[in-house]
Amino acid sequence: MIQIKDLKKVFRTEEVETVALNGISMHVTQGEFIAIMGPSGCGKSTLLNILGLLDNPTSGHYLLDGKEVGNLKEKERTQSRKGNIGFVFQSFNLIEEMTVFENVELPLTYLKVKAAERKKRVEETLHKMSISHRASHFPNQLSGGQQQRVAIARAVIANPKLILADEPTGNLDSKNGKDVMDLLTELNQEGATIVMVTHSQHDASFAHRTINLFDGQIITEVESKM
Amino acid sequence: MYNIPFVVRRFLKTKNLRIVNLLGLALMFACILVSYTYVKRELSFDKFYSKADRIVRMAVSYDGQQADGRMYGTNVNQIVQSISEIEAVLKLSKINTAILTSKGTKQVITDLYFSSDNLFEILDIPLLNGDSQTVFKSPGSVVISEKLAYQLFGKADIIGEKIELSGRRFQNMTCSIAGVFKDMPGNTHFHTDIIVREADFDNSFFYAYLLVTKGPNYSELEKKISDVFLKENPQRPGAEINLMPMADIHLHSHVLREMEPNGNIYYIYLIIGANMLLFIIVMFNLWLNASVIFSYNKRYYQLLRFNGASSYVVAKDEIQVVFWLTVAGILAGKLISVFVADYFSISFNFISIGEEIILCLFFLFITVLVSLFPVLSNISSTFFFNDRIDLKTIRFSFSNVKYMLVIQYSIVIFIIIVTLGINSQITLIRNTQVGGMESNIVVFDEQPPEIISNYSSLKDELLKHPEIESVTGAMQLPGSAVRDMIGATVEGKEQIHLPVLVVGEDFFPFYGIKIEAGKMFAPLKMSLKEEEELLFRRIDENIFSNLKEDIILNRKALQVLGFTSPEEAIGKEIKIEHSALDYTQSAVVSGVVDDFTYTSVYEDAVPMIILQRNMFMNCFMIRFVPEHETQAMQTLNSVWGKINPDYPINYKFLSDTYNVVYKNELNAGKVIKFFSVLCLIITILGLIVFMAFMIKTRTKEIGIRKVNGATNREIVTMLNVSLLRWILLSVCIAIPVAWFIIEKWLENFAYKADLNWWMFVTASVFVSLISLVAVSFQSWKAAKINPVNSVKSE
Repeated sequence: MIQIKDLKKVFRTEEVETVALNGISMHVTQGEFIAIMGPSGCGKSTLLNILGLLDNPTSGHYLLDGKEVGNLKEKERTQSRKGNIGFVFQSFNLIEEMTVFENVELPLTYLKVKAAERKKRVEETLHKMSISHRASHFPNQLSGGQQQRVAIARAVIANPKLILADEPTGNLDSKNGKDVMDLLTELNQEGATIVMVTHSQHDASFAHRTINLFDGQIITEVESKM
Repeated sequence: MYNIPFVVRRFLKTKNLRIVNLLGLALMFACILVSYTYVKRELSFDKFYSKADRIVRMAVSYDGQQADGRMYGTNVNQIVQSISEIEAVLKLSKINTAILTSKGTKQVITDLYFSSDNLFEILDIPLLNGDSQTVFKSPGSVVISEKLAYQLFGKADIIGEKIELSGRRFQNMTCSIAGVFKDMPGNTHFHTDIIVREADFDNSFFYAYLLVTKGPNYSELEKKISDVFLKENPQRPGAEINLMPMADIHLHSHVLREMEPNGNIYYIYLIIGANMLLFIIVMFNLWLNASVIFSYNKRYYQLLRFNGASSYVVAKDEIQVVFWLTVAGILAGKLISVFVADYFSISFNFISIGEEIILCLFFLFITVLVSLFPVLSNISSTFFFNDRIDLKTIRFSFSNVKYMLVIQYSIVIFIIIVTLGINSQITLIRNTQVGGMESNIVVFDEQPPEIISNYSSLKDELLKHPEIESVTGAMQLPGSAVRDMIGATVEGKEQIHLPVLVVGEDFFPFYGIKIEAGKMFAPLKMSLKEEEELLFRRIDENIFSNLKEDIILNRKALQVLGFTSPEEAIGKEIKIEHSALDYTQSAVVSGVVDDFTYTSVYEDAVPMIILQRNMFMNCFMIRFVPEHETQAMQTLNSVWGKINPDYPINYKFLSDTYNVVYKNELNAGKVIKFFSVLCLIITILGLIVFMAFMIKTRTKEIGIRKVNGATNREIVTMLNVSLLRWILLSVCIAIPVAWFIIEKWLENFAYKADLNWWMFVTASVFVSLISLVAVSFQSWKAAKINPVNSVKSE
């Protein structure tokens, strides 16, 4: 599903040049669950942003479903991202002025799905995430675990082929963290491809494969024993 | 603890917001200063006379029609004697044009007044030379202004000097200067440089000022005078006496033949209103910015509090900055006011230092108060331990801001619509008045008989020059009143009195007035001399000529005389009767013209009988080729010098005459335009600042939306639509109010501009577009931000 070859990302200012990714090559097949690990500043998030089409690499190739997407313009990136990629963040990134329902509904509005259909799908998804009873609440009225479940609901509402998770349990206690990991595993079993950045060895153990990054390069790739 | 560098640092931290505030405050204060002095001047008219509160001007209106400011043939003395509340009556009559000869030099004067001998008892005009008790005791005495004294004699000490006066409306006279008065101040309803004592007003139009025992309940007195008047003049049953306190003449009097064009109380209201609207806008910006700045500074205050500061310290800190900002605004405003005053030609004579200080303090107080409100209402958010309160207050102040935005926008759209409305009325005035759109017409107001007798040679001589297009004359100038009535009798009907306008040859083509039916006047067959002989024969021996004179009617006259169509009237004989100008009793309708506005748009179309004569060409009008103005003026001067060597030339542009007649409307147009531009600028600046703040607080949300599939365009649309919604609401508020106000104002005019829908649409679309342009740049910038950066920011 994902083919990456010799990917480089360099951040330049007038004085400083920082190499965030230095010749990364990797592949992800349909239905895989991948964890990316490494210390702070090793380029995990940069890689995830490029995978999520939020950013372009400086050089190298990125094939998504066999199509080169590494040098798309911003408008084309938005188009390719829509409905194909879902994001889960460490800090949830819910819109505070919108209710749970509206937050989850958001991707569907931008896909121009009709209102009745949207309502049906949001209700289904909220039910699946067991937070239907919170649909009309605002994010700041929820606990961290609940907020992350809303964020996951939003990430999967459009049935994306790829889910990108950036330290999804980073702001959660162990109980809520476990719930979130179970949810991701379940989604993976239902067919979603997941790439997750994490600091936690425990979280990584849920993945099929763990990629270790250091200073913008892949050090090791470990198949999970599971 | 606080010092100037600290205040400057705090100022710089939020400098964009503060500069918007500073600009608003400075402009506002400048407007307040200028408006204050202007309004005070307008309200001060004639109040400086010590008996001002006991002097009223009397006018008679007939059958509810607009009164003439002057009386004629009324035995005012009889009225004074029979009513005990009236102590004395001052009679003044104005001569528009006279020739003054001093030491052999002639000059035209346009403001000669005749007065009864009690002038100085009633109006305490200060005399530089002469004794106010005795100055008007001997017949033929005259007082002149200091300015005229210096102009004629080079000194003020000139008692006993002789001057000669001559004019069409009085016997030539030699007067002895009995006094020199101080030049009249600007804030009085009539100005003159020369006043002649006159004993007899029996055969002239005069203004009657009554000195009453006590003011100001005049309605009873009006009734008493009316009763006496009706008893004395039983032939005028519809007469009604109107009394106008002298101090109110300037702003409230709308009689015909005012001594000078007056002001109008409505424009005082307009100026105060415009100031208030601008004030609201500026204060809302102040409030809004204070809220925004406070939320920027919240962290700073939380830290202050953390270290033990009280609410008082927080409030004081904010006030300090606002205080100095306002002081800077006042200083800048004072500077700007010089330019504003210059733009409107207003002098600062009517504002004292004390009043300025009071205005400053008042302004300071209000601004500090307004800035304090948002601080006090948000101060709980500096209690940093509670997240909930924090969020609530922010959301609350946001919704407040929206209402402020709506009010600001309603004001801006309102004032722009009013500007368009006033403008279109001014355009209508220019279109309606004859020659109103043209700048190539010069006019000569009422000329003395010696000059009138040279009219035809002047005309012939001028027309030899190609740069002079055409020359004509008339009894009155456009923009004045047509009041001479002529009795007209259509066979088999009763006599009807209609206003008569006497015009010279080429009058209709001169103003491009087309004949609707029949034909134009044929060239005159008689000379001025022959016409005069006929007239004198009629007056002296009551012998009428059997000539049938051609007349032209306007549509209204056609209707009043009972004709149903122009064709019906053409060729009909009408008996005419006018004591002063008819040498024949019979006229034939030769043509009909559409109603044209010769007097003013305040009056509905007047029915007019138009005669063509050599006589009574009191006023001349000359049209020149627009491109050759300089040359035309040279020709005019040299030809005039040749034909009338003894008389200085005295012309003005027709457009200037109209500018005087409509000075209130033109001023109003200028004022409202000025204020609408200010309101727009300040609102847009406020909007830009507000948008910047809104985007700053929504950056993360925008990022999240983008991650979830929003395109840049969708983001820009979202941001702009949220704004447009409020503008639309403002449009709905502003339109009915503006419509109502303009309709009300238009009631002043007989000829009204139509309130077109496009005015409302233009104003609304214009404001919306400007606002969208102002915010779209920011929206676009916000939409372009890579969500990678914004989503992470905590």
